[in-house]
Amino acid sequence: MFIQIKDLSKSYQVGLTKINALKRVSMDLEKGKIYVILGPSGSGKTTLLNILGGIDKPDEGKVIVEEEDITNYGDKELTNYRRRKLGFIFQFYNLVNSLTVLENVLSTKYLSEDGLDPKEVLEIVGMWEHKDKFPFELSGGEQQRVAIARAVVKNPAIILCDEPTGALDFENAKRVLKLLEDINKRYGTTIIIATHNTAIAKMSHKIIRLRSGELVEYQDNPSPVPAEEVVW
Amino acid sequence: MLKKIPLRIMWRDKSHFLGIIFLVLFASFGYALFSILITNIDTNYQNFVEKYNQENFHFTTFFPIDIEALEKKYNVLIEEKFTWDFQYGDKVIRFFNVTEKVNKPLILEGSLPKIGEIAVDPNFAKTNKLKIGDVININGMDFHISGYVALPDYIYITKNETDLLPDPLHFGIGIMNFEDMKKFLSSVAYRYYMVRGSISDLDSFKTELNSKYTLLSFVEKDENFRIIVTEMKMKSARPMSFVIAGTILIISSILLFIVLRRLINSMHAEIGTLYALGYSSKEIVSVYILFPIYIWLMGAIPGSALGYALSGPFTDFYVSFISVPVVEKFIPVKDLFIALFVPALFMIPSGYIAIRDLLKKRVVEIIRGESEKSFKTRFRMKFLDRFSFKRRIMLKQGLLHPSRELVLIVGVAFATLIILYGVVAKSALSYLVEDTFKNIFKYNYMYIFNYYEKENKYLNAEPFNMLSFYLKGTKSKVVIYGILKDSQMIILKDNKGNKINLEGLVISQSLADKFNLKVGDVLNLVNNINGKEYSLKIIGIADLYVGNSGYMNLEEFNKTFDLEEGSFIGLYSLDKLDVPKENLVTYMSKEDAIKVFRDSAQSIDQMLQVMYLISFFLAFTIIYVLASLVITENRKPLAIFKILGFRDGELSSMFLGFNNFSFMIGFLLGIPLYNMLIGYLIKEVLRDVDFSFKMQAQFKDVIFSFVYLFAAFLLSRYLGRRKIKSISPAVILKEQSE
Repeated sequence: MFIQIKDLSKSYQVGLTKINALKRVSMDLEKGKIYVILGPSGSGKTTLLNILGGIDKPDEGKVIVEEEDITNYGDKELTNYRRRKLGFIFQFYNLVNSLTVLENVLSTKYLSEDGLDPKEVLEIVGMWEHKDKFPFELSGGEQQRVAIARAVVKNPAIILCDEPTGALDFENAKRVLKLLEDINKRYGTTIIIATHNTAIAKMSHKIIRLRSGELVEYQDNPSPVPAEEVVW
Repeated sequence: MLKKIPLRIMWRDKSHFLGIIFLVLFASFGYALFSILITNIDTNYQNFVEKYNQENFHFTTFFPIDIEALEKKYNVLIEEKFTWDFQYGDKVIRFFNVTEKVNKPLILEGSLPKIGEIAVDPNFAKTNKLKIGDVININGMDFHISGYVALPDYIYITKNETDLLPDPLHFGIGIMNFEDMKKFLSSVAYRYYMVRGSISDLDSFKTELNSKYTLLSFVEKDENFRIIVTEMKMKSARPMSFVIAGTILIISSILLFIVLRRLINSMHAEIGTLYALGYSSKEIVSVYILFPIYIWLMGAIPGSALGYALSGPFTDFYVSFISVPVVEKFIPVKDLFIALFVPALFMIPSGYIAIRDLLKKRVVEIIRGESEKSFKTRFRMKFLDRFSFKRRIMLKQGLLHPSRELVLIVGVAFATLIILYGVVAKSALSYLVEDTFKNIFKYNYMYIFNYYEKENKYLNAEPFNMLSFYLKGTKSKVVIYGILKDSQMIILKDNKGNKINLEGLVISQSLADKFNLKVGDVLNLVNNINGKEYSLKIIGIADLYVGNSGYMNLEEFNKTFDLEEGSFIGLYSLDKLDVPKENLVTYMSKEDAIKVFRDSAQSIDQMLQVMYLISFFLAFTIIYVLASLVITENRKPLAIFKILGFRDGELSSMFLGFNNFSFMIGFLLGIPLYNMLIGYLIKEVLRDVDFSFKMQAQFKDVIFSFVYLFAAFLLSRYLGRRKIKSISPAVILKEQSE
């Protein structure tokens, strides 16, 4: 199995209250599929994504990626893990404001030995002609496309997307979803999307549903619909 | 309510605010300490020399003079002084008679000595644990110590005029009544007279003395090493404290300006909201101006207080070197006032300018954070595209923030200047001992007779002659020596290490440096005793850094200066000679001189440690404050880069790597700055002093200084990296989603 999540638990202390963000969550994830994690705010989607992405650690449980338990990793190994295997896409794009479009993409290309051609990737997302612009000169949708290019350019095995369409209008959101779908097909990248938008689940191969930190549903989607057809 | 904002933010971003507070504290402290100290010493010194009739000049003659007749003729006060050196174990106490007209003794504690009593200088007493009432046995007779004494013509208490620093462990002065002294004065080799009052035609006075009484030496107050060193030190210390405190203040103000500007820009949404809620710009300024006010108060008040508190012990420490008797301690209100309020003059306007820039904008622009829009075309810096991504980011970081890098460069250059000054002073001292005394001056003893001799009766001894001159048109004294052509006692070499052939005049490098003299120049000299003028061509410059001196071969020397052929005034010797005391003006043992220098080196070490600390602190604080500023304002990009998989080390070199260049530029800039400072000191401050050092920075000094400052750089870099490490991507993402 590509990724195995076993009995994952995580809690936070907020003031005097303890919040259980994840409660003994277990699942297996296959390579090259699109996963959508659904759930309302506070359901544990982002926490699960952060642990999978090696930027947070669980209290208990294991995350085994290609037979290596990343929960045992120290900071250095986690950095290497992110460097080698992961791409991130966030709701608020998180581009580096002082870098141009091309430089933002180059920033991850730099980390990868067998990355893709930045020009090719920027052309795929339709941003090559804006390569010398700074993020503030772009619309939200354009910024998110740059963020996708940045995630894809190092040709990672997994792309983690946290509410990738959350800050976008319908048209731009669909364009982003289409890009993710294309990348999955073209490069065989495993894509994990955390969202509260249930419509997006239709384009995935597997649907994971979380509620109050617990896994309430894990189901196959035998006939995913093309991203263009997803509506909400 | 809003007034709480500044303190809370300062607490949150304490690393860079603490750095600035420390710099202000240090500037106030430095200024308060040195100015209070100098004012105290200065005022006490002026009181001392006036009240106790410091001499205008002194002279020695072979025959006793008619004091009364000369006093009447020239309308001055003249008094004869008697002296003898008492060997007290491994120490020497130089006793003088109690004088009544000129250079009168000041009793600091106790009373003037009566018959059977002596008074000694307080530093010697303190160092050797001698107290008032103690008994010292002098050549079989017991003397009680009646008090501690200071003499206006022996302010800088050195055994020989060439000694660098006083050595109170081995040498001190004392006074006793002439009646007592007579018991120890077996014979008098020459007569010593001190004069208070000015004589308009000194040359005719000298001529009269020379013709009637054979003038042996004549020393004006300005060239009296034991007086002038103190005045020089006081003169040079005040601008030094100004320059050091002023530079630190300017650096810290620019730092504050940069920090505040960034901080205020990062708070644009908050400030814009306050505006939108109805606060006036005046009200907003009154809140944010509290940043520089708090920094000023937190830095200047403890700094001035600490400077004042430590000025007492520091004054005591300092006077132990320059021996100014501190009779009364003053609280110089003016100095304290400056130390306290001048930082405000720098800090508040620089803080205000930082705030004003933002408030000039429209409210809607402030809320939106228009500052981000300032990434104009020029920030694309396409010319950097040829570099790797990592290097490109690093270069951009520096090029986008030139003022920040400039502060770092200036700070490091200044720290380099301070450390080089300390390091070179130390190595100059050891050069003097290890090189000059061992490789150039080969003799072990030097004897100076009170009259010209013609026959050298001693084995392993070489005759030499010497005369003292003024450099025409200046007050600078130059001593010219006549030595054997193939002398084995003085080995003169040029700066390439080649032995110099003594045909004509060879001058020391220190003399050449002070007056920009080159081989082929003509030196115009005026004889100190008889006023005769000479013009001598320089044929060589010896790699010698002791004194304003020149050398000729003895034969040529005697011929040039109309002295009898074969005559000489002194002997250099390898062995101790049995010369009758009454024939000698002075004698010097090289071993003693080296000992004094080594002892001096220990005292200098303490001062150097302070300089090392200042330079380390300065370099470290500036680099660290700027680094932590860069990290704080780039928290989000750093977090993103971390998520993307960049390592802490990579991020440190991308975001802080430009500092490497700035550090190097600052250091390299510090070297010519240091050379300029030394050039100035040698040519302007030390010009008239017959004393100098090899203060040019050698390669090893530069290397040592570099390694030392680089350690400060690495420490700040290490702390910066730790700060980068502490940034948690998950926390930043959470902050963002909130």
